Amino acid sequence: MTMTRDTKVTYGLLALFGIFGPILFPDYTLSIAYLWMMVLMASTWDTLGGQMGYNSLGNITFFGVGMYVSAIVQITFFYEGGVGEYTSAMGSIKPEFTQAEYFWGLGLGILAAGVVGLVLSVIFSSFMFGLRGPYFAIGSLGLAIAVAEVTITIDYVGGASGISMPLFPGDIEFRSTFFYILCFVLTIISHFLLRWLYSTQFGLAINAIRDDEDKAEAMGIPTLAYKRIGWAIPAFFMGCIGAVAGNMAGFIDKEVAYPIPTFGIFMVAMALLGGKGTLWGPVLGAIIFHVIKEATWTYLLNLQWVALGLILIINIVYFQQGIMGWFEGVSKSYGGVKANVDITMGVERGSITGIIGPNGCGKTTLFNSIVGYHPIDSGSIQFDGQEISHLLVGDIARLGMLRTFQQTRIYGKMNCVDNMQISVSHREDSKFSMFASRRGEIKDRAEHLLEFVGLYSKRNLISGDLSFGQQKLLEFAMALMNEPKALLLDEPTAGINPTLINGLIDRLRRANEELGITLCVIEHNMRVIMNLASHIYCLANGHMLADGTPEELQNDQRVIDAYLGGH
Amino acid sequence: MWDNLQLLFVWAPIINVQVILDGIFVGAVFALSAYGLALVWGVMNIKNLAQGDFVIMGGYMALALHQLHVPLVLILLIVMPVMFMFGWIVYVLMIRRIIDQDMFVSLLATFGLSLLLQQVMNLIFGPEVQTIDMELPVYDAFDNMVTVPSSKLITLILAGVIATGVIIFMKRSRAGQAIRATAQDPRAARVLGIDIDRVYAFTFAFNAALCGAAGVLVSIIWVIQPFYGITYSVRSFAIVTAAGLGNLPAVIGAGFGIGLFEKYTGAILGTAYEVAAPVSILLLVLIWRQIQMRRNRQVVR
Amino acid sequence: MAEDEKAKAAKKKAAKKAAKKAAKKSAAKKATAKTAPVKKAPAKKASAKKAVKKAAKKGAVSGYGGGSVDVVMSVDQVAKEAASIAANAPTVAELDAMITGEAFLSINNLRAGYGKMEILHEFSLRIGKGQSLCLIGPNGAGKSTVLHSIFGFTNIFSGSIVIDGKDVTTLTPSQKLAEAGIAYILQDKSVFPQMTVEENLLMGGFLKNKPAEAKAAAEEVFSKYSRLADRRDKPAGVLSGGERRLLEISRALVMQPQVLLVDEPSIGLEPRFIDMVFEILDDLQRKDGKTIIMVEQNAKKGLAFADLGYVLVSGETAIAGDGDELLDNPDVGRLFLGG
Repeated sequence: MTMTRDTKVTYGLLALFGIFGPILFPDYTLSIAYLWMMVLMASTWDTLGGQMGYNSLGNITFFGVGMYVSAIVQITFFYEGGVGEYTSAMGSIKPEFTQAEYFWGLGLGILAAGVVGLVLSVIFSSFMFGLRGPYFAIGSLGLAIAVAEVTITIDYVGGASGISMPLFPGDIEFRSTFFYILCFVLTIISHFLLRWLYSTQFGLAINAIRDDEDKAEAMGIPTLAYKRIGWAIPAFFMGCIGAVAGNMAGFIDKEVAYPIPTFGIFMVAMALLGGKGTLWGPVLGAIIFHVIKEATWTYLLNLQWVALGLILIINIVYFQQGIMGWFEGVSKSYGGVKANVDITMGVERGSITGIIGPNGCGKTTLFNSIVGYHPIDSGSIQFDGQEISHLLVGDIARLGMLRTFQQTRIYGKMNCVDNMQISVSHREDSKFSMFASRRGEIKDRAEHLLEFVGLYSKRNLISGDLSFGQQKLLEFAMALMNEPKALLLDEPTAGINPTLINGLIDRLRRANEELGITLCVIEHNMRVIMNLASHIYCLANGHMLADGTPEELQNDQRVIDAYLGGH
Repeated sequence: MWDNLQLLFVWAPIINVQVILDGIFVGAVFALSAYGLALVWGVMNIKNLAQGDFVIMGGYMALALHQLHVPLVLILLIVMPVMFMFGWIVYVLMIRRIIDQDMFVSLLATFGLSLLLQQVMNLIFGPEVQTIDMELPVYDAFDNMVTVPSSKLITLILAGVIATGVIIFMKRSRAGQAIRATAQDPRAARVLGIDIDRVYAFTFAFNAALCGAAGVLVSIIWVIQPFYGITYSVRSFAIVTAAGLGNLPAVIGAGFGIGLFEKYTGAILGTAYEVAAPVSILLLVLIWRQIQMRRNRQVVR
Repeated sequence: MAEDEKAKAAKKKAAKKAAKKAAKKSAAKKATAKTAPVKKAPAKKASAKKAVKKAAKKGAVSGYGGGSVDVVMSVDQVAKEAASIAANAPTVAELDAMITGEAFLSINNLRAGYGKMEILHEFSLRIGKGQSLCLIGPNGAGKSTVLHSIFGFTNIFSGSIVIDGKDVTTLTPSQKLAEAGIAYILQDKSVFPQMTVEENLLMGGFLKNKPAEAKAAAEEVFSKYSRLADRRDKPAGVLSGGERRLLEISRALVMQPQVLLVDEPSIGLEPRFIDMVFEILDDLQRKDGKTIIMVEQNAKKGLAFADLGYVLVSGETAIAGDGDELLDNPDVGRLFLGG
C-alpha cells in the first residue's frame, strides 16, 4: 500500500479533523459522528454498487437488523428478565447496567450485529444474485421493505411500538465522545480494509464483474463467490454501525431502524455525488452531502422533505458522473435465441477447426451450448474426456475451454494490463487466492502477451478507448492469458480492416503452433477460414451439411448451393 | 389465520366469490398502471419508480374534482389530459437527461421524484386516508354474503374501455406505430424519419395519463393517501417482471393474478399485511423468474 | 516451469522476428508509395467500356473475396503508412474531374463530428447523378460519419452539403428523407422484428402524408421482389439474413429517394447473399438511376461494385479514384485489402 504525497496529506488532514473536531466544537460532536457514519455507509455501499455494479437499494436492511440484534444481545446478557419481559413492559423497565456490563454488552452486540448482517447477506446472495441490473435494485429495495414489515410483526422485539436501548452509564459528554470514537474507528477500519481489498486480485475481479459479468464468467472467474463477499463486507459494516446508531438513538422502531427514504437513499446519493467506483468518491460525496444537509436542514421547516426529493433529483440528473468524474456505461446484453440443432462433430486436440454456415443455421447456438449458455435437450458434449453438457459457463471455462464474443467484450473501463491480469486462469484457485496481491510475474506475462499481439505500446490505455481492431486483439490476448486448452472464436474478424485480419490470423496460427491451443472458429469470411482451418464443418438449418478440408468444401456442390453461392 | 381459512373453505365458501370479485376489481386497476410501466420500460428503457405516485396524484385530482361535483366520466376526461401534460413536463425536465444513462440512474432519479411528489401531496392534501363516495347503490347476493357496489362495476367497465382504447391506439394510430417501431429498433426508426425524442416524450406522457386514469378508479373503489404510491410501483414492477414487456394480455392476466393473491392474503392473514403483500409478491415473482431462467442457464436481466 | 520459460523465449523470438520482417517490408513499400503517387488521369472513359470491365471484375470478387493472408502488419504500421499516403491527398479539382457530368451531391470542406469531438476534417466529396461511390478505410477513420453527416445525425461545425444545387446542410433527418430525397440503410439487423414484412414496409413510408401512397409504394416493392411478397404477413424477425437485408433496402425505397446511403451492406452476411445484395444495389443504380454512397469493410467487393472509391484515413481522404483503379493500386491493396 504505497501512498502518494497528496494521499498522505489528505489522511493527515482527515485525522486532524477527526481528532480535534469534537474537541474544538464540542456542540457538534454527534453531528460529526454522523458524518463518519455517512462516510462508512457510502463507502461500503460503493463496494457492491460502484465497484461491482450491483446497485443495491436495500443495504439499509443490515443496518436495521444490526440494531435489533445488538438490542437483543445487550439485554439478554445482562438483564435477567430476558428480552420478552423487557419489551412487553413497553419501556417502563429501565435496568441499571454497570459500566462493565454495558460496555461488554455493547461490544458483543456490535460484533453480533456485524456477524448477523454478514450471515443475512449470504442468505440473500443465494436468491438475489440471479438478478441483474434493475431487477437486483428493485429486488433489494423489496427486501428492505419486507424485512422492515416483518420486524414490526415480531412482538418479541417490541413490534410496532419499538424497543428502548439500555441507558448509557455515564454523563452526556462522555456518551457523545464515546459514540463519536466508535463511529470514527469503525469508519477508519472499513476504509483501510476497502483500500486494501481494492488493491488485490479481488478488486480487479469485482471491477470485471461490473464491466461485463458474462465475459468475466466466460473467463472462468468464480463470480458468485466474489459477489457473495462483495455483499458480505458492506453487510458486516452496516450491521456494526447499525448497532452503534441504535445505541446513539436510545430508542429503536421501524422508522429508526429502516430509514429507507433517508439513510437508505442518502448513501447511494452520496456515492453518486462523489463519484462511484472510486475509493475517495463516496468519502468526498458523504462529506459534502452531510455538510449541506446539516447546514440547511433547520431553515427548511416543513419543506425539508420536499427539498430532499429535489436534492436527490438534481444530484442524479445533473451530477450523475460524480465529482470524481467517473463515467458509467451501459452494460451490454443479448437475448437467447432458440434453434434446433442436431449435430455430431469432433474437434481434434491441437487442430484448427472451422465452422461455417448460413445466418441462423445454429452456429452460434451450437457455440453457446458448448460453452454453457444454452441448455441442450438431448445428446452429449464432451471435452477432454469429460461430459460438460450440464455444466455452467464458469465451470467449463475453469476446465480450460474459453470462448470469445462476436461483439468484442472486454472490461472497457480498465486499462489493458488490468484486463490481462484479471484474465489469469482460475483452474487452481484456492480460497485465499482471491485476495492475493497482483504479482509481478503475472504482470510480466501480461505485458509479454500484449507484445505478442502488438499492443505493448498501448498497455496503459483504457481499453474502451482502443480502436475496434485493437479491442479484438486485446480480447484474444486475454484469452491466451488464461492458458486455455481450447479456444472457441465467434467471428473473430468481423468488422476488421482486411489487412489487420491478416495479423490476427497470423497470431491465431502461432497460438496454435507455439502454445498448442486447440482452436475452433466460426467465420463468414472465406479468405480467413480457408487459410486458417485444417478441417471445416458446414452447418445448415441445424444439421451438418458437409465437412472436410477447405478444398473439399469449396468444391462441394451442397455447400456452394446453401452457402457460398454460385460461381 | 386458521379461523380465516376455515371460514373461507369450510363454513362459508361463498365468500370466495366476494374475494375473487374484489381481486378482479383491483387487478384491473393494477394492470393499467403496470401496462404504462411496461410501455415506458420497453420503449425508452426507463424504470419509473414514481409510477405509484402518478396513480395517487390522479386519485387526488379526482378527489378535488369530485368535491366540485364534476361527474365521473368528465373527471376521467380532465385528469387524463392533465396528467399527460404533467408527464410531458417531467420528461422534458428530467427524463430526457437520463435516458441514455445507466439504468440505475433512472431508478434513483425517479425514486427522488417519488419522494418529492409524496411530500408535495402531503403538504397539499394532508396525511389522512381519503376516498370518493359516489353514493351509488350496492347490490347484494347470496343472503348478503357477497356485496357488489355498482361503483366497482363501473370502474371495471371503465378500465376495460381504457384498455381496449389503448390496444386499438397502439395497433392502428400513427403515434402507436411509431412507438412500437421505436421500441423494436430505435436506430431504424430514426432513419425512417421518426422523431425519437417526441416518441419518448409522448410515451412518458401517455404513461402518466394511464396512471392518472388508474388513480381516478382507485380513489373510487379504494382509499388513497400520499404515501401509498410505493405499493402501486411495487405491484407494477411485479406484474411487468412476471408478464414481460409490451404484451398487454399477459399484463392484464398478471394484474388479475396479483389482485387475487393480495385479496386472498388479506382474507387469510388479515389486513396488517397490506404493505407486505405486494412486496412479498414481487420477491416471489423475482425468485420464480430466476428458477425459470436458471433452467435455461440464463439470468434475469 | 522450465518448459514454460522455453515457450516464453520462443514466443519472444518469434514476435521480434515478425516485427523485423514487417518493418523491412513496410520500408520497401513506402519507397514505392513515394515514387508512384496515386494521380488520377482525368476519367473520360467510355461508359460502355467501363461496364464491360465492371462485369468482368465482378466475377472475380465474389462474397468476401479470396486471396492469401500473407501481408501481416500491425495496427500502428497501417496507421503510420496511411498517414504518409494521406499527405498526397487529392485536391477538390481532382475530385471534380473523376465524376461523369455535373456533381449531383457534393460535400465541401466539411468539419463534423459527435458532441464536441471533430471526426471529419475538411472533408470533400463529389458524386454525379446515378453514380456509386464506396468509402473504405480502417476502423474509426470516419466512414460512417460521412453517411451520418449527409443524413443529419452529426454536429456540423463548418462546410456544406449540396444536393442537386440545393444546400441541405442544416436539414433534419426527417426533412432529408421527405424533402431532399436521401434515404439511409443501416448496417446489420435493423428491421422491426415483431412487425410483419408489410408493416415494416409501411413504416418506410411513415413520413408520407397519405397512407395510401405508402401502401402503393409497398405494393410496388412486393411486385418487384416476390420473396418478400411471399412472406408479407410474417414477422420480420423470422426472415433469413438475405431476406432481411432485402427488406431493409426496399423499406428505404418506399420514400422514392434519389440518394441511397448504404452502411456496410455485407456485414454479417453469408457469402451467397453478399453477391445478391450487390446485385440488387447494382440494379437500383443502373435501372432506377439511384445515386449510391456506401461504406464497406469488405473493401474488395465494395470497390469492385462502385464507380468511385475514396480511402479515408483519420477523417480525411487519403486516396480517391476509380473503383477498379483502387483495387489495382498496390498501396490500397496492401494496407486496406489484405494484399
